Amino acid sequence: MIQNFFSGLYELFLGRPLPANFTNDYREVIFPNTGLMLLLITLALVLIYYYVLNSMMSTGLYKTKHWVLFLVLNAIIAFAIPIFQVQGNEVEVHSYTYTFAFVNTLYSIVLFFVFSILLKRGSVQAWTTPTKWPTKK
Amino acid sequence: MSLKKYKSHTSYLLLGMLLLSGCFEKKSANQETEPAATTEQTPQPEPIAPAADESMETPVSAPDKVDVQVYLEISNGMKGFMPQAAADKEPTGFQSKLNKLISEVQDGRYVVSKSYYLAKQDAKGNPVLDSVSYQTMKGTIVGGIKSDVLGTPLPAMLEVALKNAVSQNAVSIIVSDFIHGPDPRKPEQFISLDSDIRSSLKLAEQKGLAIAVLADASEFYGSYHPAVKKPEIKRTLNGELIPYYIWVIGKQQEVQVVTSKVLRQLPAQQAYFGFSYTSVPFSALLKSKTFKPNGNVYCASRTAEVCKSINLLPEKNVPVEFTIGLNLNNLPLSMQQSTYLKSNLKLKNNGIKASILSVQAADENTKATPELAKYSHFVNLQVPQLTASSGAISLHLPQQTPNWIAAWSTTNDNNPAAAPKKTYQLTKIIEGVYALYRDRSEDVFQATIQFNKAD
Amino acid sequence: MPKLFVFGIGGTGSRVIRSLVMLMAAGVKVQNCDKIVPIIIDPDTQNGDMNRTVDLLKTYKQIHQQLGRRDEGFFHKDISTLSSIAGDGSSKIRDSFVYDFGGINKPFKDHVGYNQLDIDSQALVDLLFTRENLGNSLDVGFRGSPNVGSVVLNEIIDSPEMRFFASNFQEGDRVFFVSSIFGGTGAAGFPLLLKNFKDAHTSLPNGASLNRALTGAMVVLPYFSLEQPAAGSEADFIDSNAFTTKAKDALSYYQHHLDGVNALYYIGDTPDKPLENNPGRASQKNDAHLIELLSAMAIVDFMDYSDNELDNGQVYHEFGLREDVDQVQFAHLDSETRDKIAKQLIRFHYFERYFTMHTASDAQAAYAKGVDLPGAMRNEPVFKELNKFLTHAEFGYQSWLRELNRKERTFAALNLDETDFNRMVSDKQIETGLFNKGINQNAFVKELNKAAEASSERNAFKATIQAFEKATDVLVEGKLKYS
Repeated sequence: MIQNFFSGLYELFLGRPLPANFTNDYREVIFPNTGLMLLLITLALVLIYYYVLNSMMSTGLYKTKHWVLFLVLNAIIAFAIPIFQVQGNEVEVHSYTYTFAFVNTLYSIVLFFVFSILLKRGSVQAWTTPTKWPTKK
Repeated sequence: MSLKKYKSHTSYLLLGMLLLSGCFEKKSANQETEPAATTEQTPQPEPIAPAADESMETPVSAPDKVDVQVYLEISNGMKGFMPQAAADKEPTGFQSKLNKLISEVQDGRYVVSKSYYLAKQDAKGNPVLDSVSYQTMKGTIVGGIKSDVLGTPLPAMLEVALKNAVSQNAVSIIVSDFIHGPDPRKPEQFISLDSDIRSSLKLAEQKGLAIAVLADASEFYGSYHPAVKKPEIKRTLNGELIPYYIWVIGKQQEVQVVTSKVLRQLPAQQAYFGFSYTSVPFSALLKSKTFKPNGNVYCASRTAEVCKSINLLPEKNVPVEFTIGLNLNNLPLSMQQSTYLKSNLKLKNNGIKASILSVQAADENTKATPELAKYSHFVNLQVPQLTASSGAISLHLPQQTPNWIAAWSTTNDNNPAAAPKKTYQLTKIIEGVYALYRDRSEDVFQATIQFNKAD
Repeated sequence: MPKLFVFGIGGTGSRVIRSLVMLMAAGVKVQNCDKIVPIIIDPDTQNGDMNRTVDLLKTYKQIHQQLGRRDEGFFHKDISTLSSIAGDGSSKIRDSFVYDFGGINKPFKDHVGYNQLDIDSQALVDLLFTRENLGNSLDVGFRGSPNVGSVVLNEIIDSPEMRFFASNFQEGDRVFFVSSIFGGTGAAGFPLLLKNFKDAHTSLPNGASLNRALTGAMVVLPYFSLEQPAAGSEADFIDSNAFTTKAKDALSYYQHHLDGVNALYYIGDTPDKPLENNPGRASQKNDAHLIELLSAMAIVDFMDYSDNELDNGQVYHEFGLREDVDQVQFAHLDSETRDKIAKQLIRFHYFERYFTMHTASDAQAAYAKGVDLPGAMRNEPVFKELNKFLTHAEFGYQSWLRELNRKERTFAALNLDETDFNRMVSDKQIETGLFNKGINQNAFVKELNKAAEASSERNAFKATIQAFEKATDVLVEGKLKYS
């Protein structure tokens, strides 16, 4: 179920895994692992940004540039995960791996934004970051 | 200051990420599909169990030691193989071969109990087996046959020897020129040779025994008694090559021990009957760096060490190519020849179009690669098209009568000088043996790989 | 709810009202009334002190109207013009904080019709007024001449404004006079107005209510001196040497003739270095002075008393510091006074400092972004008004505070030039350490964001002011820990 979901999600843009003989390594392990890690890490970073740094601690990191910094940090992590996953599962590194990393990076940006929009309203210092919309008032 | 704070947060974050990824690696190692929430390192059962299953599949290796009975036919026709030894005379090929053979039987480490028999016929034309000592046997081989024994009816001799060996659970090694010398009073035996042979060896088939036939030729000195008595009843030969045969009858594994460990150097002419392997170790090699597959193909199971079920999807202009590794070490030696396999390995395809591209024996490189070391042969397959969404590819080696049988057979053995290394009606003899096993198993082995169309 | 009418008479009146407005802006509470109606009485229409007070009042009014009616906070007290209290726009008088004298730009001699008088009357006039008195034009005020003022001011009782005031005066409303005892307009105007209001036979409408009205007065004794005019120059100047004499005369008059004042406040100081001598017109624009701030506090004090407390005969108040110091801190004020104003002034000061120094760079902070503060600051006029209120070079809070700091007896409780919030309050600095940065921009913006986050106000101006009120409150209580 989870495997099918993440495989479908990544193969939507990537096509079948290459080299093809590692197809089920991708589908059963790498895609779901990467997807789950992407979800969790992005969620964690968003929570840290909005609730730790900008609610509990009030570090002054509420500006859009700080948000972008976290988005970029998340994107870098998102780019690294697939490569580590592929190498960690002894799967041959292929140009597909880097395309995969790139797609994961794009997903991370979208996901970070979506999580931000959904969760920012609970933040004290940064509920207007990156956009005021959707306003909670 | 705020920047510094921020940095330290990031490092916590990275730490958290590492923990996270660690947890996931473990998950993948255990081929779990649900997200592994447990972070403690409880030792999970390593995937040893499936590996153990695989090892079960490799056939129980042949027993180290066997009981052997050696039968040497000592009719007059055999005398020419065993001339009286003299200082100036080279021993014949037969003598040196046989000498080595019985020496190996007597003193080699692979034979437990051994007995030696001289086969002849009594005055009534019934076969007689004289149990003799090693010394007597040896003396007969090097010193020549003293007694005068007329030709032996081949089927009868085989039957008696076989019965004797079976009763004692031993492998019989029967050495003879296999020139059929029927009782002159029963000339119809010439005609029914194949069916007689089949009858005489029925016990072997019933007991599930296998037969190896090894043919060789040796210098022959003295009286030669052809089966066909015209124009000459007998000829005197002086070193012409006359065929002789060593038949090894016994349980498949024990025959293997004898052929590989006792006989050791086998002649090129070999024929095997009743050899069949319910399973040989094999696997589709899809993650090997040595045999990289082409096209869309992958093992149905991600973690299986042995892959017998694959998913594939050949595309136009991109046929699927992949390699199957086989361990054929237990097969008779001649069947392990790449050339033999190349011409005899066949595919049975169900729902798929496939062909064999090449057969390759293990080399230094593959032996040095752990996951390939267990395979003796590598068969490269090409699949250009599927005709069904699932099915099977079966790689099989049919039972085959080797080509040399026909070459070594003749309908007239009267003049061996003109046509050396030919035995009268060898094809018929072999036909009889072949017929015996024909219905038991068509294939020496079969390796079947299931496939599903990849999605 | 009752109103408080504050009559600011003369230059001193204007200046005290200026300080009063600052206190109101800071959110100092005035009890027992919901509306303050200042009426500045000064014939000198060009008077600098008056004009900047009027500008300040106008600005305050704009800001207050935008924020709406509230019980506390910055700018919460309604300060209205006389005409607006009718509430229905039916008033026929000018909508202004200043009493309109209507063009008295002729000399006093003409005003009283000196030349038309018979010779006996002229002789009497000559006896009462000097030649300079008679020759002076009236539109520069009375120049420290109460004898002139009393004549002219007596006439204003019959003016439309005064009648409007009287007819809109209601039971429970209070009256407070602020005037100097040594000046021209104030010294003459206060007893004159009082006499008219309290006269049982007054010609004003609604006389009974006025007679019964609770009345307070702030009488400012001399606290500054003026430079002596250079020898040989025109004698067209105020002679500050006469201040003390005049004050004495006036006091002895008050002793017997001030009827109907429930609470009378006195304040004074030893003169400072002499001010530039500018008799009237725009050039009479004196620096704000601690005395005026303290005087404004008298109004707050007066309103603290309930009707019953005030009804028990005349009470006299004098102001005193705990110590005779040159630089007056909050700590030098009596604790009662301090409690009333210190926290409010500190909060307002924090607000002013942060708003003018940092808010512009806070475009992305939640409190600003949430209500599009940058856009509002560009487009909404009220923010311009707020800016004027805080920074205007003539009448703004900054100049007011700076002026207070300039004198020899200075109000030094708040330091305008200090940009570090931790050191802005002179007698209470915030200890900082490695982990406690006290109040910096980060801490401030954090509180602003918190305040904004808890609020549902969508109007940028209201939201911003509320955020600052809440934030400054938290900062003063939590960080400064002022008590």
